[in-house]
Amino acid sequence: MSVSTHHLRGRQLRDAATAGNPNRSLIARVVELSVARAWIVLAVVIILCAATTQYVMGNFAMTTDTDTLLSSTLSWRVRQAAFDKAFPSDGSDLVVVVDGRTPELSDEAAAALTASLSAQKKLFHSVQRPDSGPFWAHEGLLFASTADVKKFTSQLLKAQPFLGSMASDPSLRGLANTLSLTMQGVGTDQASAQDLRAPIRNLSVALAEPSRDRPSYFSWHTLMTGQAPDQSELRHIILVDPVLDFAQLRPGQLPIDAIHATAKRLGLDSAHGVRVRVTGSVALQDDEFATLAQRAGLIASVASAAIILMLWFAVRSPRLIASILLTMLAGLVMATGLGLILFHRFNLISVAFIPLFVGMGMDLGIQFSVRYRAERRPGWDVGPALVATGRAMGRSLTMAATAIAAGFLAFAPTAYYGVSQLGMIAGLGIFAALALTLTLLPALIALTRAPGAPERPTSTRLANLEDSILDHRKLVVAVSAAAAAVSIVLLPGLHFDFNPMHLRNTKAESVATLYDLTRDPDRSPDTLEVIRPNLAAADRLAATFRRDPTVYGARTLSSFIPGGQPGKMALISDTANLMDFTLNPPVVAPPPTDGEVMNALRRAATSLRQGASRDPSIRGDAGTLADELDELAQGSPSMRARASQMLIPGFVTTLGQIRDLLHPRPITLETLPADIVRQWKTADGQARVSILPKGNSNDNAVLRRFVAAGIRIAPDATGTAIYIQEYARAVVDAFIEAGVLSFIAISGLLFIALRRARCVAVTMAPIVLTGLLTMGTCVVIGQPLNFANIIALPLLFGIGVAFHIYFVMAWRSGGSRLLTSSLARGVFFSALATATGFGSLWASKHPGTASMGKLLMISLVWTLISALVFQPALMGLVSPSRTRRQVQPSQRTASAPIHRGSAHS
Amino acid sequence: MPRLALLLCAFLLAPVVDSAYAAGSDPAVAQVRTLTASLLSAMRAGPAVSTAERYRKLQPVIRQVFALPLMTSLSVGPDWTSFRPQQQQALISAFSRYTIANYAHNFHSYDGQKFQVDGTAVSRADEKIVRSSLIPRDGTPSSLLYRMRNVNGTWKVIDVYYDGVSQLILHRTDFAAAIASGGAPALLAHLNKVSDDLMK
Repeated sequence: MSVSTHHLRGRQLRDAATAGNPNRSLIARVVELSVARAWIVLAVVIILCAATTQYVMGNFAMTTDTDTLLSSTLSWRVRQAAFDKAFPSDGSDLVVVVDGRTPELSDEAAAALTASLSAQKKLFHSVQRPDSGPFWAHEGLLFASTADVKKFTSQLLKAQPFLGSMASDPSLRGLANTLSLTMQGVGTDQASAQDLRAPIRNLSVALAEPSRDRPSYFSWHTLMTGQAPDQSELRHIILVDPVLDFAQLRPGQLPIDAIHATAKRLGLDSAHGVRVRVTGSVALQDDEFATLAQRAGLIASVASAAIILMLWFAVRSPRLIASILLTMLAGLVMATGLGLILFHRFNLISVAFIPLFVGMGMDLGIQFSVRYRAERRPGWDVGPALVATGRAMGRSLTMAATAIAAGFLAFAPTAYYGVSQLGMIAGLGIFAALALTLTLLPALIALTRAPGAPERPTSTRLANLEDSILDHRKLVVAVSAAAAAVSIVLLPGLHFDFNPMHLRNTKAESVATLYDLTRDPDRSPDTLEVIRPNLAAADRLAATFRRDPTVYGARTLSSFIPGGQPGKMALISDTANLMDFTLNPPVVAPPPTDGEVMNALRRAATSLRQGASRDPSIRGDAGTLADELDELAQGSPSMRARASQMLIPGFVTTLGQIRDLLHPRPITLETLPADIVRQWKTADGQARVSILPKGNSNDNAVLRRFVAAGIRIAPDATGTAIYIQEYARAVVDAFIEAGVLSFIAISGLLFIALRRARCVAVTMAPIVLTGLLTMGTCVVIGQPLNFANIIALPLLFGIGVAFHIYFVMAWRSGGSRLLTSSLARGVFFSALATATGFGSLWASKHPGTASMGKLLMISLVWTLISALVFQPALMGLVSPSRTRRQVQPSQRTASAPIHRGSAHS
Repeated sequence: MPRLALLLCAFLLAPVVDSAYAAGSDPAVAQVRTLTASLLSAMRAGPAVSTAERYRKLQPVIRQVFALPLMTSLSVGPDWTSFRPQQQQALISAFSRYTIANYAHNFHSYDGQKFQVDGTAVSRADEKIVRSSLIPRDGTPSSLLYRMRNVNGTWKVIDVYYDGVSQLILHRTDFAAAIASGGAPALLAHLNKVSDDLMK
């Protein structure tokens, strides 16, 4: 029995391999051999995979450095490199943004954090405060306008009574006594009650809060100037150069965590009126990985579930599903090994071969398996069915794989290494996938003895759909052509979003902080930079830029030499002279005892009430403050200590700052600190001009206008604003070039193989249609292309090419009712598997990745419509050849699944 | 009556003690003591004496102790250099009259107050601070600091801090309003009017 079964099976195998064709198909022979030596095939693949895995584990490398992806000989890159060499970056790897509720809180927090971080040498190379230090502390006032200097000095003189009294007794007692003194003047000409209203109210509000056990923020600055502090006083920046650990996915994680931990330890949190946030390139990249990791588990599960579900619909057999997935995984491992052998490391674009490979590998597997199910007719065993499948599908699978490979290999000459490497890896990888689909997959199916399909009646609905498509084929083609035309019209509206910030999650701390920071036009990262041979030339250029309406400001080293210094110095030194004994009192009272504080508070309360009775205009506020002071006097010593802690250190800080500001030295090029000069002038005298854009630099239109104007004024300009746009242009150009090259390569290959221009046209027209409709849809829904979703295009392209080739090959073999064939089923579910699998990226928190999922979903929907509606209609309009010599009854196995196959036209 | 006796003693001894101190102490301190002594005697003379009479008596002392021209220019501030010499002279005269009138107006009665002058001046750069306090019979003493500068060999007062409040800076902010409204003439008118009011 077993002998005869074996004998029968052997004969069937040979029959299947040679059926209707005296020349034994090579592919059928390969499948036959793989089925016969299934265990050996499996062992060989396992060994190969193990070896490759071993190699990949030891050599896997990936660079996220996008700068290395482009030729460094491009003119704008040469300019940028020259600029970077002349003016090395100021180390904005990590930017710590410290916001305080008051200028004092912000300043103290930044100082404390800087000191503490500087001590952590293992985590930080350097910690700097660019807006602080002796130069700004002493000379800062000279940078204000003369009018502002006047305002500052006269305000200071006005505050003298207050300052003098407090400076000689910097304590709660001193404050209470100052109040008493001031109130004694109310009603006489010594003090104007109007001037006292704001300070009394501020103090009253501040004191009201600690007694209710809530944090409170009191600003001497606000008290003395009588106006709200501006943003630059509430925010300080710390530039940190972290020690990075590139062995980690997030190299900056340790330093960033350390900054947050240090801030927490120092009590720099919202409970203390301070907010410490971290941004900068390293933080942005870290957060990007963190965002990608967010929901990664969920997305992976949804994607796997969706893929398995679609595979189930396609092949209805767990064994087949397992075989397809294992074959795909084996191919993925090999392609990864191949990529590493070729290029030693992946980059952000070439790593996209993974989704590409999963999609393509799965498609080959699905096509083979779907056909296998159809071939496994009653009475046929696994082996013969597989060989028949190989014979039937071998040609179209090989054709599709070769076309796709040619398409991808055509990327190789592009200037963008990301794209050319992706093309090479994907192109060669597809051959690995094809080889495995024709060897490992049959071997696995044979070993698992996966079941075939029961005879199922063809869905009448699908048949009706096909009938109506074929009945209205002219209309379908016309509508498609019209849609394509509309898309072409829309095409100019398709933008490439060159701003990498737009790919990032705005909820991530680093991104939100950067947006917040760059709301200040002085801090826009999107600058233009120009080098001139000397400072005079740089200054002239800056003056030209300042007149341009797109420019917010232009800076050179000369911007650090404020004008009107003699006048400002005179104002400042006059005030310094008048205030000398006030700010530096000859005698400072020793710290008070708690009893002295209580007495002083009570006296102040009495004075306030007396003053209020003399001048009714301050009655309300003075009365409230008097009550609060009494309450404080009656309260616990800890309450007074808390009030003292809230009020006094800030005063001491402010006093010190005023002292420093009143003794500036004249600023000249010679006296400027070296670290400032270095950023603006090289040792050999070359000078930098830095130009800031006017308006929201996050708006691409604003940046485009700014760069256009900038290049008109200085054609040799460089800087981030130009860099990101030129980079994007290079990427888009590379993709367009790659697209054109692969279009030519695939068309040429198809022409050689099919030898009919109309066959080539019927294959390529749907691809073009899909591309146009996808981009048209992007315009309509306002989804721009970007660095992330553009890598979905090659996958769309590969899948599209495969589908259309399958159909064209079947069509040439005489099938015209393709929609109800097993092929359509394979195509349909293969597209759905890829669409749902990669479409689930749409759920990513990372906007770039989400837009990639979105684009894939859109493009696969159009691919399906193109393949299942447009292409059949198109094929209905034309015949593959006049002689139809391909269609012969002997091609039983090829036409059998297309059992409704009869020439409709 | 020990209290009265004590007061009497103090009264009799005070000038003696003061001059004894003055003899061996800082010339800047001596100047302040001279001022406080004349202020005290003006107060003791009581309200029966007219303001004009007090003015006449205080005038030479104040002119000797205060650097009135320098104080005028400091009180005006940076605008001073833009005034014509005649205006400056007129303003110095008006400011001097205003300063003396101020003292004549305020130190008109005696209620047991005492002046206490610290014998050691605090030196800083080319200036000195002489500390003193005005002690009422009861209540909290007031602090008076005299900021002094050597003008042509004589230590003279350029600013007085009354309980920490700089009179010079009060003048500066007060005068600034007048100057803003009409320059030197407006300031002159303002000073004359205030002085007239004080002398009433």
